[in-house]
Parts: sequence; structure tokens; C-alpha cells
Amino acid sequence: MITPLKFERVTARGLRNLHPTELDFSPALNVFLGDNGQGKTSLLEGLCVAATGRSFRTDQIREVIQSGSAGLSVSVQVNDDGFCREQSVTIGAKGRQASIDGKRVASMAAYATHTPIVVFFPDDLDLVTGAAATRRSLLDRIALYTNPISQEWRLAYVRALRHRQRLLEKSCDDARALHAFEAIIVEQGQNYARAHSEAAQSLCRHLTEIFDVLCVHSLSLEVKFAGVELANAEAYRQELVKRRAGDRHRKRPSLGPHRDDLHLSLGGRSARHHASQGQQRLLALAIKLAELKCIQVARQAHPILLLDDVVSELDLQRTVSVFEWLRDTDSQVFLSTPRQDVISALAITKKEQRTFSVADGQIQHKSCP
Amino acid sequence: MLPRRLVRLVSLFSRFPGVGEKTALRFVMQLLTDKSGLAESLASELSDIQTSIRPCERCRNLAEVDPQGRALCSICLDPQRDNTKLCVVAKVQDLMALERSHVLKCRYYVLGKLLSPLDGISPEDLPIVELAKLIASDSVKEVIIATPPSVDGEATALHLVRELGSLGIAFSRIASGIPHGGDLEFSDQITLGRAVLGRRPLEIDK
Repeated sequence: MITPLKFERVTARGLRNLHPTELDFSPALNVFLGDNGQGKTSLLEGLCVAATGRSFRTDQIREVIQSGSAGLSVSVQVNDDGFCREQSVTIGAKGRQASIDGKRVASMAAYATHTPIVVFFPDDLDLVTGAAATRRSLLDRIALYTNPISQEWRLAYVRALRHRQRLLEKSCDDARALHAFEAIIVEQGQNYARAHSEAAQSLCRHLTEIFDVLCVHSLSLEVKFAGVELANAEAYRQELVKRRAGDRHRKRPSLGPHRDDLHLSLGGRSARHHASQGQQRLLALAIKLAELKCIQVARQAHPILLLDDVVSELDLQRTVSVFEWLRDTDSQVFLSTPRQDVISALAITKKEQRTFSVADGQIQHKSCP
Repeated sequence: MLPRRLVRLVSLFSRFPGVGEKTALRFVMQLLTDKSGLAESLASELSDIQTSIRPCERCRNLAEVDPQGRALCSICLDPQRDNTKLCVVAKVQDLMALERSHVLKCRYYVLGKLLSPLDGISPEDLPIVELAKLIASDSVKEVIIATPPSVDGEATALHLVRELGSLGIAFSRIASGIPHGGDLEFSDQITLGRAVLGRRPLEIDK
């Protein structure tokens, strides 16, 4: 039994350009309508901060604080299979603090996976067109749910890798100390690589399925996990030894799961270089929906979906197929758009829909059209 | 506000780890109102602390300097200790924690640092020559490496084994996992995962 998970209410103060806000949500579909720069994305960002302590727009969390405001406080009431809890994040002079039902949490990493959410926003096009690091963080994020200890593997692996690189670059050829770090790299790297490959397997399975549903003209998608084979510990260790000189020269380590990637191709050609903008966008969206499915399976809960300006650049047919997907999902959806016509098109989802108008930092509940 | 001398004292106390200005002020008020001679005792204890306490010449634990000017800690002076085992720790606080456990009746060696090239601590900064000398002079049979279960602690352990491997002695590494009496339910996922991965077989009683 997969448990439903819903945001029931949000309270936000000091968030970007928004006035102090308190909103009650529909358990199914929530739409934020307004022109550009009015605060739609900021509201979605606030929900993301409340659920994870992080923003999808910036790594500098203080940028989320309204200019002139001392701090930010945003809390959501989460309905988790009938039980309610209050999750709050405040960012102020004391830094970032998160609490659940008024109790401070010790680990931000654990807090971030408490109420799983999946965000799609325009920059996510990078999943298709950007550097490998973007796709790697996707795999890291999925692994966080499928195998929580993978986070520790990754941190240990990266630290050992950086220690080794520093030793190499000091051109201190102390083979013995290098050996110590390489032993840790092999142990943690094998674990981390396995976590990546499991996450990739789960993602590939769901991604091809979802892409078939979304893509109207059948376009064959091929997803391939590009990671090196590291199952043999001794061979891995020897390869690291062999690459010492090269790694020193290039100033970066050349072997291991920190270079893993996903290769995406459409109709046999690289999606990054040959797909149209619209196809790339649809593929990026499909990846996020597949991420949602992976988390859903791992956590046995329906993650909450935040979609920022999802339909721009999609043609009518594809917009319809995306909305049909939204019709069939059990996840609660938050969707922002500047287009009035999207509201009526969303009627095909036949969901209890709540529409909010966003203007000049003020958000108001509109009665259903 | 406060007299200048007190402000100075408060700012001195707040240099201690874990002591903020409020706590520092409480310390100062306690010193001022105390009737048992706390201030005098503290002053006399503090005046020569850096010359009378030094790292132990053998193991680098903290030791009081004796009238002959030698510094040997109470553990190194204890004839009851098992010389054949030597426990290597990163810092004095770790040694004290292990002593409280009363499990080891052996001697120790305090490294004082962990291998960490990113923080500028290279292999040559570790006191390996001194450690090797101690092992040879005490005819140690087993070295128990009790560095923390972090990347730096783990790398230090591996490096020590590699460097001292030719001495023909046994090496062991402390385990990591669930604390005794700890409830599995309340353990964090990382500790729990580590405990499961580091599980040991149970012997069947015949």
C-alpha cells in the first residue's frame, strides 16, 4: 500500500518578493496563475525549502530571504496517510534550522527526505543538455531514497579522492600513504558505484515507460548508464596506481563513480546534440516523473510534485499527454503558469482543482472556473 | 557597565571551546562571589600549567613533569600494565575515553593528529619513527588501532599498518556500530547500516 502524502497548508514570511502568506491547498491539483515576476516560482520555492531545507533555484540559501527582511520562516502542514505534522524551516541570524512538530532536527540530510518532493523547473533542461554532474546528482538523489547509506559512501569516497589528489599534486610520491587512500577509494567507490547503478536501473525502467506515454509520435528513447566496471577490487586498486601520474598531470582523478553519467538518445541519436528544444524539454520532464516513480517505489509513498512553468515550449498534443499523466497520478501536484488557457485545459484531469492568482507578491484563492 | 578588568576576564573565558559570553560572565560572577578560595586556587593551578604539564616522553599522553625534569604519564609509570599490547589513538581525550571503559589494561600511544593531506597533514607529519621505537623497546605483540571511523581515521590506520607491517607484530582495528544498550529503533540509518555491514558470525555451541 503506497501512502498518500499532501501539503495541507503553508505559512511563509520573508520569502523572496511574497507578502506574508497563508494558504490552504487542494489534495489533488493546485494551480498558480500570474504574469512573470509576480511570485509563482517563489511560492513553489518556499514549499521546496519547507520540505527539504534547500532551494531548487540557488545553492546560496540566503538569497531566498526577502531583501530588507531579517530572516525567512516557512512551514507546511503535511498530511501523511491521515496523520498531520508540521515541518518548518527558518533561516536567520542563527543560520538554517529545521523542525518537525516543533522539535529541532539534528540532521538536515535526514530532514530533506522526510517528505519526498520532486521539482521540475525550466533549468531542469540541463538534465538533457547539461554536464554529466547534473545527471549524477539525479542518481545521487534517487540513491538517497533507495539506499540511504549511499550518502555516507559518497561523502567518504569524495573525501578520500580529494586527499589522494592533494598528495599527488604535492608531487609527494609517498606510495604508501597513497595506498591508504586508494584502499578507501576502492571500498567506498565500489559501494557508491553500486548505488549509482541501482539508481540508474530503477530510473531507466520507469523513464522509458513514462516517455512512451508522454511522447505522442513514437520516438524511441534509449537510456544507458555510463559507469566503469569496478567489481574487481584488486583490478580497481591497480588501475588507480597506474593512473597516478596521469591524474597528477591532469589535476583531477580520472577513474571512478564520480564520473558516472547517463547517456540519453532519441531515435538512435544523442538527445543532447540532436533533439529539438521541445523534445529535450519533454525528455527532461519525463526524467523528473521517472524520479518521482523511483522515489515512490523506494519509499512506498506518493512524492509531492512541484511543476514550475511546465507547459511552455510543449505543443498542444504533448501538453495534453502531460495533463493526462497528471490525471492518472496519485501525487499531489503544484503547477505554476502564466497562461490563462492552461487552466481550462487542465479540466481534462478531472481533479479537485484549486486555482490561485499571483500578482505583485500577493497570492489569492480564486473560485474554480 | 562592567569594570574593564571583568570585561577582560569575560573575554578570556569566552576563548574556551563551548563557552559563550553569557557562560563566561557566570564564571566571572562565581569567582567574585565565591568564599572558598576558588580564585586563588585557580590562579596557582594555572600559573605554571604549561611548564609543569607536558606530553609524556613515551606515549604523548599528558604527564606532570617530575623534580628531575622528566615527563612520564601515570599509565607509562604503572607496572601492572600489559606491555605486549599497545593501543594507538588520535588524541588524549580518546585515550581517556578508552581508560574509562576499563577493557584495556595496556599501554597507549597518542598520535596527536590524523593523516589529512587536505588539511596539510602529510604522512611525514605522523610520528611513525617514534611509534616504531616504542614497539621495539616494549616488545609489543599487538597494536590496537583506535583511530575514529572516519576517512582520515581509516586512512591513518591503513597507513600505520603498512608502515609498521615489517615489524612482525599483529594489528587490530576497533569495531564500529550500535552502542551497548542502544535501541536499534533509535539508531540513525548510517550507524545501523555500518553495524549490519560489519556483522560477525555466531559460533554454534556444541
